[in-house]
Amino acid sequence: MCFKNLPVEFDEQGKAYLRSDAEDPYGYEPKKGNPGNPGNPGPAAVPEPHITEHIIDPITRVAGALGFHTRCDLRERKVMEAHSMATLFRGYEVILKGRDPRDAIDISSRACGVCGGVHSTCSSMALEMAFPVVPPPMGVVARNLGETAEFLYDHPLHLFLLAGPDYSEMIVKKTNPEIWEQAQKTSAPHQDIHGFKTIGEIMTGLNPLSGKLYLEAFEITRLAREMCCFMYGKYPHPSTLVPGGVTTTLTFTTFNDYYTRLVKLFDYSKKVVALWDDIFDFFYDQNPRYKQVGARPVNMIGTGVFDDPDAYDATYKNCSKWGERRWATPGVVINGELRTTELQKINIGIEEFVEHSFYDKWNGHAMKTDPAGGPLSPNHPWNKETKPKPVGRSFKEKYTWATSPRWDRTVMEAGCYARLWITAMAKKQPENPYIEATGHSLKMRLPKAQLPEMELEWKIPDTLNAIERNRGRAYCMPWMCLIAMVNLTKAFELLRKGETKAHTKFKLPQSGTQVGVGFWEAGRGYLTHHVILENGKIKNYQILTPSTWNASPVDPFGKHGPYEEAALNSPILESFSTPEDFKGIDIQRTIRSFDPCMPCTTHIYTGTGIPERVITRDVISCACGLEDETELHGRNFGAGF
Amino acid sequence: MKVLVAGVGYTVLRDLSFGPEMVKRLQLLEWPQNVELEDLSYGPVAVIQKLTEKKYGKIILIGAVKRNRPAGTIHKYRRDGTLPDEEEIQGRMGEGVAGVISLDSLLILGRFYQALPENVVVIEVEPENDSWGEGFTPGIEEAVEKVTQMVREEVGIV
Repeated sequence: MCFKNLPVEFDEQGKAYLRSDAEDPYGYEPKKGNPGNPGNPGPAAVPEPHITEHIIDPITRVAGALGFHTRCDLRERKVMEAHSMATLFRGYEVILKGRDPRDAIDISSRACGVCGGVHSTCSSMALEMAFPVVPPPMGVVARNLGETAEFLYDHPLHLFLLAGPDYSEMIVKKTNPEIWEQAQKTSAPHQDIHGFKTIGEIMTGLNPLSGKLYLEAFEITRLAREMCCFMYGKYPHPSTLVPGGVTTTLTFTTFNDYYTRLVKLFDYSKKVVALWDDIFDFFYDQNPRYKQVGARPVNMIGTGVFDDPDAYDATYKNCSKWGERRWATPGVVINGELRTTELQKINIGIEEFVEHSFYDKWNGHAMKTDPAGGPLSPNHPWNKETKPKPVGRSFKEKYTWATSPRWDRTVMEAGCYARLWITAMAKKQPENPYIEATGHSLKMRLPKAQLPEMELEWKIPDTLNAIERNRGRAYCMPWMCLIAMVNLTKAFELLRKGETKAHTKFKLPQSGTQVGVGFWEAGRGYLTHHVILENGKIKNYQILTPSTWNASPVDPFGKHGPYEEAALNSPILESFSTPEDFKGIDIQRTIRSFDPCMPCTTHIYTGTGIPERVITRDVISCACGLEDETELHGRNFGAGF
Repeated sequence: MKVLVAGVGYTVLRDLSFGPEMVKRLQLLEWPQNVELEDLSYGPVAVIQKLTEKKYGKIILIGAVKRNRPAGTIHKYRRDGTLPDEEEIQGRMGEGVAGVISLDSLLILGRFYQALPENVVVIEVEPENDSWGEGFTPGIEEAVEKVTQMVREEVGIV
């Protein structure tokens, strides 16, 4: 059964319909009051805190700012409460209303400093479905190559510049000195691949700003960025991604230049996997309870990414077929079981709730069915209206600008590891010489470069936790290299056949209503852009990002979002003798393991019998080191300048 | 000497979009051949990689930053090269990797990784309206012409 909570069933032809006994099929009664602690029931004797005393102000006035509030019991070493707060509304959906649809590509790409290419592509795909226009095979291949390069840029930055320092000598020495002591004495099992003799040496390499691995990641991503530029013309903020393909000039030289850089990343990805396997296995050996840090149910969602140029036709009618031909398979996993890999089923199961978000509910239900006749909830993105209403600021009411997206009314997580997981389970990848999905693992055969040929196998872990999110991200590196290799081979084949055209001209519809959806994952996983056009203008545009799924607040059914749930499930394994020593490293590792696409500011309140304090890791708007030259008030500006 | 005039900031955030919006407007004017204009509103790692490749002799950065000055204040300054402590530098790197675009972070990280030339001039305005939406408030709109003139002077057009 695909849906267990929504009254949606399928006939013999696989067509979705609403069950006839469902009187109010999408109705619900919002659960009142402050939600409990679903993942970690804990001792009931713990008194309820006055949460409203600890509402956090916005830390930075920049996009995607995140506040994360937890209340910890340091005696019991448990997280008692957790709330994730997106502190800024960007309003893209409102800005895009009534505009030329082509504006959406550029405007949405500038939502973020690191995800520009994925938003441009996803927006282009939503529009090419609506127009409609079908890109030529080379256009599809170029998108795949650009996107693999973008992920090869994104993953090392997260692993070594954001998550890596949490496992570095500098941090582990302070938070778990007993582990650091042991690390210096423990041989690194894969030293023949990465060159570090002990786990301690790896941890030193992970030191922020100066560590060898930190600096190497900073430099190696230059190669991946250059690869993006070959496909997109420039990166970030490419301007060549359009409905119908890409407008970049692509030649043998372009692809050769791409290949020379890819070869270097093959070796780097072998080292990345070996390094993180050594670090994470060591942590489990030191304390098996690290399996519980950041753990939550295996509920994941992905739209898939990297199209097969022989299958992709940009239509909604066939989206389940072309989706299943993707190199990263779309899918939904609930409690570790693969529920579906069909894009249409993924799409019709999505709802967004705003009971705990700074928005008003909307009343409309204009699209009762999708273009293939499948039923849609009034809370589906195609029906959603963005109505900002920042009132009721408390954890019992509304506390964030993020909404609560749910699939089949279930809390879902997005991430690059989710696409690895879904692809490994689904066994639907197109045949190729390098990658094999086994149902329980993904086998990758990496060709020889400076390092010898190597077979790697990512096995589906028994727990979804902070360590396995990061380990999965490390294995995504060789996986992306191999998907790039397969697509590069395809590009050369198309060049040899003279199929160099990478773009199909489109015509902007000037009348009538058209709908489209872009399904195209970001580095952090799931991404959709839903669009409705009317008389040549945007009537509704809705962006649903991976961080919205992950940072979502409590839903109307009383369930916490993934960040909150993972923090609530985490034991506190850090060593500290007084509350003043407590640094909250296990919670920080938990949140950072999701690769939050926003500044993660963790505020940790420690109470319950131990002197109370709030730990604030914030960002200071720094104006230090400034040497004044002029200071003028704009309205009086004039004479002398 | 190659000169870069760059804007830094987010789009669709009213006055806070001063940097990228100024670049769009400046691109409509004529500039000497040695002057490049670009929107540097993206992650600091990519910015640093770009700047180390291009080796500009002078960079003029434009943006809007909230520093509690009267709205519309135009502040032109040069950095003296002083850096904050390493914890803050790493914090800013972490923010950048998480998608944040910030003029201060660019200046700090650019200096830390020696990607900026000695000659960096910053022209920033104090925003009045920092919420979502398009268009500047009147005071900031007034600053556009003045900042344009300051940029022209900085690149040697008198």
